[in-house]
Amino acid sequence: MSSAHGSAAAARHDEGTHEPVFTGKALEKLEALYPMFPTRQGCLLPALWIIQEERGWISPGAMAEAAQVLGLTPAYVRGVVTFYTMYHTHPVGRHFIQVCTTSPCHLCGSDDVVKALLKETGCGELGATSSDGRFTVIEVECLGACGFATPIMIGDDFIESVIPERVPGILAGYK
Amino acid sequence: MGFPHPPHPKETVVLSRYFGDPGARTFAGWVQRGGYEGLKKALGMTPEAIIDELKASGLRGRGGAGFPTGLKWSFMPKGDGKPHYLCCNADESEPGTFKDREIMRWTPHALIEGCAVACYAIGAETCYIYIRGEFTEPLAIMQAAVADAYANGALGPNAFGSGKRIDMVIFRGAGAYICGEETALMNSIEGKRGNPRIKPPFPAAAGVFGMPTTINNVETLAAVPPILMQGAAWYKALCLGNPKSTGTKLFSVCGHVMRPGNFEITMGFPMKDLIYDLAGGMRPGRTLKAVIPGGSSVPLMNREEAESALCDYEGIVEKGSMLGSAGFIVMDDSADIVYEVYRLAKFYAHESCAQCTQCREGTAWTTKILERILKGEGKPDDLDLLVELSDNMTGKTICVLSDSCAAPIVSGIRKFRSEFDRYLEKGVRELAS
Amino acid sequence: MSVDLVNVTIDGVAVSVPKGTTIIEAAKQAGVLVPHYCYHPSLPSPAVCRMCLVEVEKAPKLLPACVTTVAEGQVVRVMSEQALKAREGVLEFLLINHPLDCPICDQAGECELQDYVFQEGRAGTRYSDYAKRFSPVEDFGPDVLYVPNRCILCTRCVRFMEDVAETPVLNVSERGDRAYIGIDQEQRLDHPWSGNVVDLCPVGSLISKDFLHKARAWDLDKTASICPGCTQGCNIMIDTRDDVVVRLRPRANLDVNRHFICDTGRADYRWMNRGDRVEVPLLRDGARTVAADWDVALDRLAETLRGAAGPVVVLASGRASLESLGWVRRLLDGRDVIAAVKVPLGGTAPLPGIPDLALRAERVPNLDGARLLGYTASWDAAVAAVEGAALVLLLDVALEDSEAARLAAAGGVIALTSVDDDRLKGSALLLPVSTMAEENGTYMNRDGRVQRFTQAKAPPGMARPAWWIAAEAWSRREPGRMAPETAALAFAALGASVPALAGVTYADLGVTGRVVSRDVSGRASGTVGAGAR
Repeated sequence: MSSAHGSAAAARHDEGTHEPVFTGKALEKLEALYPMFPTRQGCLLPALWIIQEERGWISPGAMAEAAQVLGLTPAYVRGVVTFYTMYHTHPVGRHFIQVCTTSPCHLCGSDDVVKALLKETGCGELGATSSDGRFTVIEVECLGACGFATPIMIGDDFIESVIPERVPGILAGYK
Repeated sequence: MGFPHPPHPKETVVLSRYFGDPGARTFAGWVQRGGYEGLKKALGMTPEAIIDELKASGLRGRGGAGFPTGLKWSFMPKGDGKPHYLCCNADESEPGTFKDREIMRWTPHALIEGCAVACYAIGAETCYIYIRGEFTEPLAIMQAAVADAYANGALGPNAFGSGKRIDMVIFRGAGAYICGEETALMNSIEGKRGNPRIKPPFPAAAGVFGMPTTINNVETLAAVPPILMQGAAWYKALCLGNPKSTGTKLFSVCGHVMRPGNFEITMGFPMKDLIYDLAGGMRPGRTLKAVIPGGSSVPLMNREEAESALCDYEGIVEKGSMLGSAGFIVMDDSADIVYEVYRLAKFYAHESCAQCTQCREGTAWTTKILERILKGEGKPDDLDLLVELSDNMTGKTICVLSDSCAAPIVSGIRKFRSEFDRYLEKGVRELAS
Repeated sequence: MSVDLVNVTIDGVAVSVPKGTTIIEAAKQAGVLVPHYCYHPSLPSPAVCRMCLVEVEKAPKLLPACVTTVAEGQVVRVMSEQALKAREGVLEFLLINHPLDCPICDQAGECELQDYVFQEGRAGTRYSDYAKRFSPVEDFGPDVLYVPNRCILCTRCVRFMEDVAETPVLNVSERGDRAYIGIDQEQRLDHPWSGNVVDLCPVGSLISKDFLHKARAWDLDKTASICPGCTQGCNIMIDTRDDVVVRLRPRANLDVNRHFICDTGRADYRWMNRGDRVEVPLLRDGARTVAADWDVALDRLAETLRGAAGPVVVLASGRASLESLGWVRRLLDGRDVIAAVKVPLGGTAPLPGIPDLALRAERVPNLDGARLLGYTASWDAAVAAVEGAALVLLLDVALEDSEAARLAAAGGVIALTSVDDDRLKGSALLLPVSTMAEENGTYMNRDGRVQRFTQAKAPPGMARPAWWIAAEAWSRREPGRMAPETAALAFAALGASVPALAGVTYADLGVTGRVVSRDVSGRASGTVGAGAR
């Protein structure tokens, strides 16, 4: 999930004043990383996961905090964050749905699964968040479950063998 | 998560023996099933002896490159005084491939044991297991299994009382196919963008954090304990005639087959039997049209080639493609080759790291051309242009992502020209009824 | 310690280079330029642009010349059909999203994309009917604009900021063909050396606001010079258009500034274009000021010197050349002289990735040269001595009001000045001098390196170099004396009285200068930057 281009666009998703993430349990998790890597920089990707687990996305303020804590610059951290598609640089729906549509899954009908999801969630189009803030649906590349097509992820839940008929039942479990 | 099928009689079950058996996930369960004997045996051998055994077995990298594993381990410097590292490549993102996740989900300790043996053999005290970020269940299972292994003394400062330290860190990726490339994986662990590095230097000289590093695929490492326990000769004998490709391989079969899933077969197994027997053959009324055997980064095989090929490194090369990761994508006559080639190009364009000009711009451009052909707006020169651009994208970049984008395009146009021509002529997407 | 040499043949030319040399550098010795973008001799090489792929006999693939080191007996072909085709391919890929901005792009005429496409690219585009990637221009900071559409992602700018400036404020954001150069929204590109990214950018993607739409590259006259901003002595090019200085750029000198200049020096050229200049010699006759020609003025100068008994105070600008400072001293030979040079001070700004490179606190280019030539009095002492001086000689120095006020207390004032200054109206002689941009001369930097600067624009009116004025007056003081006619001769003559310069000529200085002595000021020379590379 890549952010819109440009610093002006990033500023759209303004979080107000940034409340530090690395306090309490989150700080403990961060400090537990330090002995695992010979450099603080090596802790960056795991640290970004901690931020995303806490806040649901990685704001510019959070990037600056990660930079400060690990001895890097905010620009450097931003370059890393925007490389990896799983880090969200803006807030997303409460339940973030990713559907694989790469060739193996396409052969097994992923197009229909996408259509069903867009309809059932009310998102209407890929990348849009539903009006109740519940869902965002995006297409992703191969999720590594080609033999169990079509796989989708809802947040951290990995659900395989999805066919259009199963979609309403699956979504019902996500409030 | 999906459940694996029971083994087919023609499979040679080594790594997949306990797929579907939740009892194999715990340390105790794994020990009950004969696990960790390999590690114990290894800790009583010299590293050189372990490496020799692996060399004799003929084990080759199962991630796609097929590099002889024993030879790779022997590249690590000896007595250099620098910390050595092992990286396990669990970034399984090659379209069509879904075997490593099964190893991690069902037999996490097989992987842990294999990594531990490798660490000991290459003089590494730390192993990073780089698991792609989307694999949330394997991540959770591996984390629990590593903790279990520590609790039972298989890992830690004194692995099984050997006096050797073996530490394992589960590293979560964040959504980048290119991080499956070994040097990009190392950069990712170092907290950088997942950019592949120029080689030399090679990982054994300067790898993760600049230190000597060995990187192996999950399946490769999981094969190590069985080889130590049952011997190199046993593994070598598991091949149907071609001594260069030994042992078993998990084939991830997907697409238009009745029984998609992972099949563990001996190297040299006839591809025809894999498709029609093990994977249950075509859907009713359908015929085989094409197969991409190695994950998507290899040339397409047409029906004649697929039905006559043997499943090993050399056998598939003979038929004009490559074994790669053995992610087997099967297409029957209902498949739109042009669309699938386009969709693969789009995949590569999305995953390009952006360093090399040819890849960054070429993957996107070829995708655009294919998209336009699909819309019925293709120009007569477009196919020649695609082939020429593919040539410019091959053999000229830091890593082979752009070559991988070119392979399906060139082979698709060459072997399924009529489908492309149909789009250029009629501009209508036709499906065989 | 002997260096291992390796013999290679590049496009048919045999060269011997030290072991470890890259093919691209070895090719330079063979007189072959390997086309490239991301490579730069002062930056780490990532080999990402793929332009420098060359054919190496027996190698299965084309190899990147910027990171492949030479091997004994290697046969390299840069202009082979394969290599040409590969480069043509790279250029085509670069152009598909590159806008047709040449008519409005500042880089035109000095653009490496234009140059290589013209030389080796395709004649027409095959990227027909597809939209090009578009993003709006971004303001990165005080002087730099980023035009993403033109960017070829060579990443020179990112590597410069990260590895040379050691301030990673630029990044590559996103990936694939969506990638662009990013800057954190809170940060600005205001590092004291950040202007170099504009020079490093091979295309018109990073451009200078100061230079925006000012002049076309082919309209510019380019002159080799030395930055007059501080004692570092960075080598520069002065770019002029119709005799107006429009831009300063770094000139390569591997021993002084490598390929870089600081933003302070880069911006400081407007004074070279000042219009408020003295254009004729002005002599005081009683209460009147009378314009005169040089013959009359020089005679008056010699006469004034003859008639003044007592100490002479010389207050000189730190921008005065060795020739000017030296000949003024020679003019005053045998007299009691208190000579000082004015040294404005400022902060320092090292470029950490290059050893011994910094914006120095002493913001004059010739402090060490001045000291070598006997301008050793402290400024304050010299100013204090004005009151009892028989004569004060001002050498194009900018005085504070308080300092200028003291001049009335001196016996007489001879002002050699470029700028018209009301406060100097009481001077016995007001003689127009050229600035360093308008004359040939030399400076000695803080390492004792004497470097030449050359004339970039014409001096106004009758202004002449200060060394010429002093030398002409000197020659009038005794028969048989011959004043030097050129700066070269003026310089060569300095050796007669300055041992460090004995026998040194302009030819010896060449393009990159020569160290004649170190520690001339008695200071310990230290490394300001962090570590050698």
